[in-house]
Amino acid sequence: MKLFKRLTAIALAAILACSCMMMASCEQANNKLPIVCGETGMNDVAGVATYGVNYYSLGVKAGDMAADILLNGADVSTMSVQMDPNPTLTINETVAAEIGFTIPEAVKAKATAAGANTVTRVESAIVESGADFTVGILQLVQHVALDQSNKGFQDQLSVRMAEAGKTVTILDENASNEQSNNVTIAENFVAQKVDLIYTIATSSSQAAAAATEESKIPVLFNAVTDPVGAGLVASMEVPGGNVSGVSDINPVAQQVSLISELLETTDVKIGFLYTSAEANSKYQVDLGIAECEAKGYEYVEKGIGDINDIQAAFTALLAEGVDAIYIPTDNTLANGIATVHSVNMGE
Amino acid sequence: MLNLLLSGVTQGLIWAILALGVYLSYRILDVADLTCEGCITLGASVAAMLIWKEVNPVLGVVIAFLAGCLAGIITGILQTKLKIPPILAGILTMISLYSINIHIMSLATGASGTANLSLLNFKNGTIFAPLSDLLGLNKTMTALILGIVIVVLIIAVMYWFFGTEIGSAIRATGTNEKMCRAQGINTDTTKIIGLALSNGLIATSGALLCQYQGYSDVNMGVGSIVIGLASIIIGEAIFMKAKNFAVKLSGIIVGSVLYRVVVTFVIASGMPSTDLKLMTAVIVIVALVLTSFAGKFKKKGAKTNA
Amino acid sequence: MLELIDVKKTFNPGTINAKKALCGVDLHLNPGDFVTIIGGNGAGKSTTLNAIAGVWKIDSGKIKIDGIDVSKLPEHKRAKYLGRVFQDPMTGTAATMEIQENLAIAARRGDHRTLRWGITAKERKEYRELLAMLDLGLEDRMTSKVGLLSGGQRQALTLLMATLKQPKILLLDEHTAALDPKTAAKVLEISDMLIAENNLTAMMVTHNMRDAIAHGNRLIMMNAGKVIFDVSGEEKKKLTVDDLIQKFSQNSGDMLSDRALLS
Repeated sequence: MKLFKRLTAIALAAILACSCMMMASCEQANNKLPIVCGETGMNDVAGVATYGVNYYSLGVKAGDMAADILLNGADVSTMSVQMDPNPTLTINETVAAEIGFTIPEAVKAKATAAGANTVTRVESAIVESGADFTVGILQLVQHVALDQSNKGFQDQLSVRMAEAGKTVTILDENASNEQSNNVTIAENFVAQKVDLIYTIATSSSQAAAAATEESKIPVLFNAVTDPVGAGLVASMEVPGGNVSGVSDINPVAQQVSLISELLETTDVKIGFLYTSAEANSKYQVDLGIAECEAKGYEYVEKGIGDINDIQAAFTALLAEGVDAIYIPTDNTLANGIATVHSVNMGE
Repeated sequence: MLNLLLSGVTQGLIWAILALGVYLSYRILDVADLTCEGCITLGASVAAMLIWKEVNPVLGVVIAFLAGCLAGIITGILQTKLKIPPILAGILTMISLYSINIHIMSLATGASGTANLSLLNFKNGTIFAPLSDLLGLNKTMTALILGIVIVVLIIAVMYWFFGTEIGSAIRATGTNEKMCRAQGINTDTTKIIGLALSNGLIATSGALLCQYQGYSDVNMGVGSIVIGLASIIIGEAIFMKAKNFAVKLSGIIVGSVLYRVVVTFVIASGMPSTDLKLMTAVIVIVALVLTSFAGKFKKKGAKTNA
Repeated sequence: MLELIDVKKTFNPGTINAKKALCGVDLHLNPGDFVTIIGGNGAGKSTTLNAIAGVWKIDSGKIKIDGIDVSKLPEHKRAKYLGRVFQDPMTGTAATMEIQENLAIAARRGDHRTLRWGITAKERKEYRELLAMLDLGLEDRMTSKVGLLSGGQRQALTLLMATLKQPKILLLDEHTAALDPKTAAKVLEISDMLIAENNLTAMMVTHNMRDAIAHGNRLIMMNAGKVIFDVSGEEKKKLTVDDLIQKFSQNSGDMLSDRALLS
C-alpha cells in the first residue's frame, strides 16, 4: 500500500515535470516577434508599424522633375527614378497588443506628427490655351491614391511655373480603367505634340512609352512599383530613354531602420522573409540588406518557395535568433499574410 | 488632325479583329459570349510571353489564336455538354482566364504572380518592328497596313468558311437549332466550333494589341466586349442594307474604326476625363437609335410602295 | 419500315407535374404506308412523332427504323432516316438564310459535313426545278431569306427539304394546323404529291378528321398515350367522320367534349 502511494507520487511528479517542460518548450515556440511589412495592407494584418508611400508627395516629386525638364532642359534619360522622400508612418496597435509588443513613445509620436505637406497650387500658372508648355496627364483609373499623384503633380508644376514666370496647359485625361483608352489617349498626346506626358499607373505608362517611341516626348511616370520590370527604364539610376519618373515602391530603407527604432537599439538582427521566385521581392530584400550593412544591423534572409513554406521558414528564422522580421511587398506572402500572423501567434 | 485620324484608324483595325470575333458569337451563333474579356488578355499574354521567349512573332500570333480557340472550346463544352447557361459559361471561362493569364505571363518572367508583361524592351521581337524596317514606315503606318492586310485576310477566310457545309451548319445553328437537329446537324459541335473561332479571333486581336501598346496586362480586357458590340452596332447602322456577307463583315470593320476615331476625337476635344464612359454609352445609344429609326423608315417606305 | 415496341415515356417523373405521355405504344408500319394519326389533345400523337425523332430519350421500349434500333441514338443522328415538318412554320427552316441555302443544308442531311462549298451550281439548277414543282413562284426567289416567306410557303419549303434527301419515314406533325384553310389545302396537296412521287412511308398527325380520312392508306386513333384504333385499306376508305366520333366515344368517355377532334 505504501509502495503504491509512493509510486503514484512519483508518477504524478513525473507528469508534472513533463508538462512543465512541455509548457516551457511551448513558451519557447511562442516567442512572438515584431514584424514590419513593406506594404501597409499586409502590415494591417501582421505588422506592428511601417512606412507607407504618400502619393501626393510622389506627385510633387514628379512635378519637380517635369519642371526641371520643361524649364531647365534637364535630360530625362539621365534623371534617376525617384522614390517617396516623405513616407507616412503608421502603427498597428492591435497587432502590437496581440503579440505583447510595446511600441516606443518616440515612434508613436512620429506617427501622429506625420501628415502630408501640401503645396498651394498657383492657379494663374495653369491656363486653358496659349501657354508656354502643354503637359498631357494620362491616369489609368479614378482612384484615391492615383488622384493624389495627379493633384500633387499639378500643384507643384504650377508653383514651379509661376516661379519661372511661365504658364502651362494641362490636358488631364483618365482612361477610366479601359486600357484601350491608354493607347488612344497616349497617341492623342503625341499627335497634339505635347511637351511632356505624365502617366499614372504601370499600364498607362507603358502605353505612353510605346506611343512616344518615335517622337521621344519625355514621359514621367508615377505609381509604378517596378519601373525596370515594367520595361520603362533601363535602370533606376540611369533610365536611358525618354522615360523616367517616381516609383511608389515601399520605402524599404526607412522600413528597415524603423525596426531598430521600434526595438530602441541598433544591436538588432533582422530576418527577411520573402518569396524567392518573385523578382520584385528579391529586389526589395537587397535594398533592405544594403540598409542593414550601412547601419551595421545583423540580418539573415529566408526565401520561401510557396505559401506552405511559411511555417518552416518562420521557425528557421526563430532558430537563427532574429529580433524582428521584415516582409517586403510580395504577392505570395500577401496571400499568406494571415498565416504569417497565426504562426507568429503560435497557433 | 491627320495623325489623330491615322492613330484612331489603326487602333480601330486591331480592335476590328475582336469585333469580328464578337460578331461570330453574338450575331452568327446568337450567343452572348462573355469569354471575350478574358480571351483578349489571353491572346496578349500568350503572344507577349512567346516574344519574351524569342519565338517568331508571327508564330506567336498563330499560337495566340489557337489558345483563344481552346478557351472558346471550353466555353462551348460548358454550354453544351454541361448545360451551363451561355452567359454563365462565358463568365466562368473569363474568370478562370484571369488566373491562367497571370500564370502564362509568369512563365516569361519566372516570377509568380506576374500581372503585367512589358514588351518595351522587346521591340525588335514584335511583329511591327521588322515590318517597319522593311517598309520604311513609322509604327502607326506599319500597323495600319498590317491591320488592313490581316482584316482583309480574315474577312476572306470567314467569307469562305461560312459558305462551306460546316460554315452553313454553324449559321443555321444560330438561327434555328431545332431545324438543325432535324437536318442531322450536331448543334453541340457547331456551337463549339463557332465559339472556338470567335475566341480565336478575339485572342488574335489581343496578340496584336499587346505588341502595339507595348505590354500585356491582366486587366486589359476590361470593357472589350462593349467595344466589340459597339463596333457591330455602328457597322450595322451604316451597312444596314448590306446583303452580301463580306460587305456585312466589312461593315463591322468600318464600325470598329469609326468607334475608335470618335473616341479619339472625343478625347481630343478636351471633354472632362471622367465623362469618357458616358460618351462611350452615348455613342452606342446613338448608333442603336439610328438603326431602329432607319429601320422604321424603311418599313414605312415599303408599305407605301405596296 | 418502322416498329414501335411498347414505347413508354413519362415527363417530369417523380414530381407533381409528372405526366404519363406514352403508355406502351405498339405500332408497325409497312414500307409505303401513309398513316394519319388523330386523337384528342394530350393523346400522345405529337409525342409519338417526337419519340421517333429522338427529341428526348424514351423511358422503355424499342424504336426500330428499317430494322435498325434507333432508341439510343441522339436526335441529329436519327435525322439520317427521317424527314420532318413541324406545326410551327418557323421551326422547319432557318429564317436568316436563303431559300437555296436551306435546301442545301437539307440535301446534306445524314451526310458528314465538310469544308466543301455549301452549295454547288448543279444543286442550284436542281433546286430551281424542284421549287417550280411547288408552283409558288419560289424558284425565282432562291436567294431570298426564308424569313420573308409566308407560313404556307415556309411549310411547302420545309416539305421539300424533308424529302429532298429521301427519308425512310416522313413525319408530319400537324403541319397545316397553323395555316389558313386554303393554304392548308395547298400544303396537303404538295404533301400528297411528294409522298406519292417518292413512294415514301409517312406519318401525319392532324386535328382534322376529314383530312385524316381523305389522306393516306391507314388511320390510327390515339388516346391517353395508347393506340386505340387502327384501320387500313378498304376499311379505311369507307370511314366517315361519324364513324370516327362513334369509335372514339366507345373508348373515351370525354370524347364529345373534345372540341379539337370535332373540328
